[in-house]
Amino acid sequence: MASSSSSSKTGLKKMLTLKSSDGDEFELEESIVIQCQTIKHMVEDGFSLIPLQNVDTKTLTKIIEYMKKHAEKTESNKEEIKNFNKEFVKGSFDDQFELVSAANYLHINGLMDLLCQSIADRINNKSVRAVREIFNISNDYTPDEEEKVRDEHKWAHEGGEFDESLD
Amino acid sequence: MGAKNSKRKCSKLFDVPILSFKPSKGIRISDVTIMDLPRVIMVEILSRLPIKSIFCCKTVCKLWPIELSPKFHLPPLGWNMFLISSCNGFICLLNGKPYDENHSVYINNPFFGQYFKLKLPEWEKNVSRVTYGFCFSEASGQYKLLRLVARKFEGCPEVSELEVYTVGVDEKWRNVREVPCPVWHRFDKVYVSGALHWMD
Repeated sequence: MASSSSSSKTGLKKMLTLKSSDGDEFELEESIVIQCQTIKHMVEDGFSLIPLQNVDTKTLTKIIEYMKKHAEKTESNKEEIKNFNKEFVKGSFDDQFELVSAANYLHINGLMDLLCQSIADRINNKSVRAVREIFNISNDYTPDEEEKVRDEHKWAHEGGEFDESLD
Repeated sequence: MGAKNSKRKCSKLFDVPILSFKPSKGIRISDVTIMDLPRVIMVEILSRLPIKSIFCCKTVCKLWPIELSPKFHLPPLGWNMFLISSCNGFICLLNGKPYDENHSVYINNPFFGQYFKLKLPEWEKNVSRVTYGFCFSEASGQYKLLRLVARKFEGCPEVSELEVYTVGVDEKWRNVREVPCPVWHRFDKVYVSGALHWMD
């Protein structure tokens, strides 16, 4: 505690540079970046410039936004973080796809949890047709085949209304 | 003649220029589908869904990535396997006999076929038998394994102690205390409303 407050007074925060696959560089405090396990291990190995060949600039910008906000997490701003998370997962599946792949690669557990839960929530209780639309899946069943598969798991399709909305 | 033809066919196949499917830098793939996600992420996502939703998804398309069969996937332990408890779709299995030093305990997700072996405390000489229970603690939101250890001391009645292992924390077994009413491996047990009940 004492050492961290003295270093912030003197401005001696350790900085790291993340480099996206597009070649853009982002300078960040180490304390923010170590939420990411993959980078944390590289820092421990003495790296200060970290090339991320699997993460493009657009995705990295979003991930940095997430890490910065979550580095501010305290006991008193839980509600604020919750609202931030809610806003963060809005967007098309294309965006979520890039984010969840990057979160998995970078081992950011909190972000992985958030995104997987959000994608699961988008599937849960949706009609088959809505799931296809949301996740860009084309139906490769013939009507007869689809009927047969549906019959095999009839119990799963029974009871309750299925949500047709595409959000 | 026929052989010659087939040879030509083969070489023709290799004449086809190999196309690179890797998108060039800067171009974003706009038509990714959920099925392009690695299996490890798909399992992360689907394991958060109720079982009904998982089966509904099978009707989405033929290539839906998770193999759904009516079979359960158990660890390959052979016939010496006993069910300890099941809880929220996970099952806890005992391999071997609970009074035998060399038994082992597994936690298994039979739906996705994932399992792991628990690290058990070292078997002490005075242990006569152990009894296991597996449950989800609603208070802590964690899965726990209970291990009732009966110990024999010369000239004394048997003593039963309770040890607790919390899944996903560390590999330590916490010794809680001596239990006044020891339970047996053969007792029926059931997990209801966040508590494990043993029945004589």
